[in-house]
Amino acid sequence: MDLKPELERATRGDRAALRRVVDHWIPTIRRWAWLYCSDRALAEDAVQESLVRLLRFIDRYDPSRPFGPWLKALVHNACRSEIVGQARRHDREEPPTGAEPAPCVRLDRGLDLARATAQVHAAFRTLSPRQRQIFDLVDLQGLTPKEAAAELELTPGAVRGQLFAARRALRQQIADDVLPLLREA
Amino acid sequence: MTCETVRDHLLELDTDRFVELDDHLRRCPGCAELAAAIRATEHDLRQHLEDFVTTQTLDAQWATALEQAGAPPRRWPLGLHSALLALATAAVITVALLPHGPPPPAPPPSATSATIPAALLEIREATEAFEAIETHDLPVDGLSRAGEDQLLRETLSQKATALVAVEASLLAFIEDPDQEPRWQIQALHELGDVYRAMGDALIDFTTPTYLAPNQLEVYTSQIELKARAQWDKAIETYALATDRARDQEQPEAATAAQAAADELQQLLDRRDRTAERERQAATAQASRDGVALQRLSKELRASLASCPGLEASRRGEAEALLEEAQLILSAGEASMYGGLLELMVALEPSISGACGG
Repeated sequence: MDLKPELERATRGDRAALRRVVDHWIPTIRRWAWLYCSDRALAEDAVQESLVRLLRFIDRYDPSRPFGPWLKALVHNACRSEIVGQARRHDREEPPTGAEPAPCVRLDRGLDLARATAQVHAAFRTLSPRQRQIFDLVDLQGLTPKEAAAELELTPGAVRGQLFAARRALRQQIADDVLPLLREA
Repeated sequence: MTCETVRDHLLELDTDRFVELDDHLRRCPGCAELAAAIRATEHDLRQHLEDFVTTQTLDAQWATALEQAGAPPRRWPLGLHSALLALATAAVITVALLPHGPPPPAPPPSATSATIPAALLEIREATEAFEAIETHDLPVDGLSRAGEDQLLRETLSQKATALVAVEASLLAFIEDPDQEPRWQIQALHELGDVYRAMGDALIDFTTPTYLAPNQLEVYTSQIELKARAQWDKAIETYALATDRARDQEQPEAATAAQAAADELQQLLDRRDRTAERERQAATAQASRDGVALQRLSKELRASLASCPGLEASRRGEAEALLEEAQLILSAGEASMYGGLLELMVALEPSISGACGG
């Protein structure tokens, strides 16, 4: 789908045209946000913030250049702002020293499964945004490392290296933390 | 094939290549369980992501965005967080925020009145102007790198100039023998607030978009140091205000200044604890990378030994990397494990491919 005419109109202030562009890109925006933030609530806020920024800054986009990289940078900036904002809120809300963490009580099988799922997501969050992106492209979306490298403008070797590190870190956590919970469940 | 080898493959291979390990997985319940857990959890992640991507909330989000885009940029509540400042602006900060030394001792006591002096009210206007200079979330999207640098530099320079002006006015007020001590104590307290706000602004400063993660790391620490200098000055100034208020028998002013110092100190202590936890996590990661590096070195050495016909340039590259890994491991340079591991991982497939492995 050629969005160039819509983009040109959008840069001149046509919000209906911009909305049509967004309709097309929204799944990608959401995917980028989730992979960058690796937290559903944070990613949802980042998507919202990305749309605000898009409305504010679309006039700075040069339609002669590719839109994808420009949009990706904008979404990542929005993600960074959300992460920084969350860090600040966390900083302000951290309980005083000496406070005991909430007790971890095992209630039933469902809870164990929920804990296992939470562990997987926590493990995913420990990967760097780049590793999450590569893991998504190759292991979740099924691209080859070469295709992922082309998409990310990296060398296939670098992609394989990052993929190796991502898989290893994630699966090590699955082996160490998730498997015991699945066994209990 | 041993469980250890299979497990290593499970940690690294594509899940659809697990079938290559089929023989072992059929005989070994432990490894089969791990393979199943990996498949299941990766499926769960894929599902979770797809659910998020296909969630239909665009109409509501677009309506909100249209509303927000018309409003002025969002202001974050006052507080501390780990936003960063461009390296390019660090020089500006260094020049603009050279230490001005602690405030001078307060002047001798005189009679008091309940009306805020006009001079202090004027300074408060300047303080408000200083605080109104936004440093967080500057509109850098779509700017070139040079444009971004310019915006960050100009904003910081403006903020620093405003700080110096407010500081000079407050110090003049504090030194003015015609001003009442209670208002001079108040001015000292407000000077502490201004230093604290500057520290916050530095930490909150818009994150530059063009820095690589390693560059970002270097200058986060630089910015933290500069913000710390401001926060330290704030605590020192609050302490002077507390002492002076006690000398002047102004218990409420003393309590307020003491509380401001304590609150800031607690925030700084929390930052220190968070930083310590991050350091510990980095150490643990380095330890895991070290183990992986040793194992990969061993495998690469074995591949080289079993492949005498390997192309000389490729062999040379692998041997140089192995030598470097040996040096780094024996020197315990943990910060370099991760990078070296990536290089070795990137090289390994081409070596084992060339050797028919």
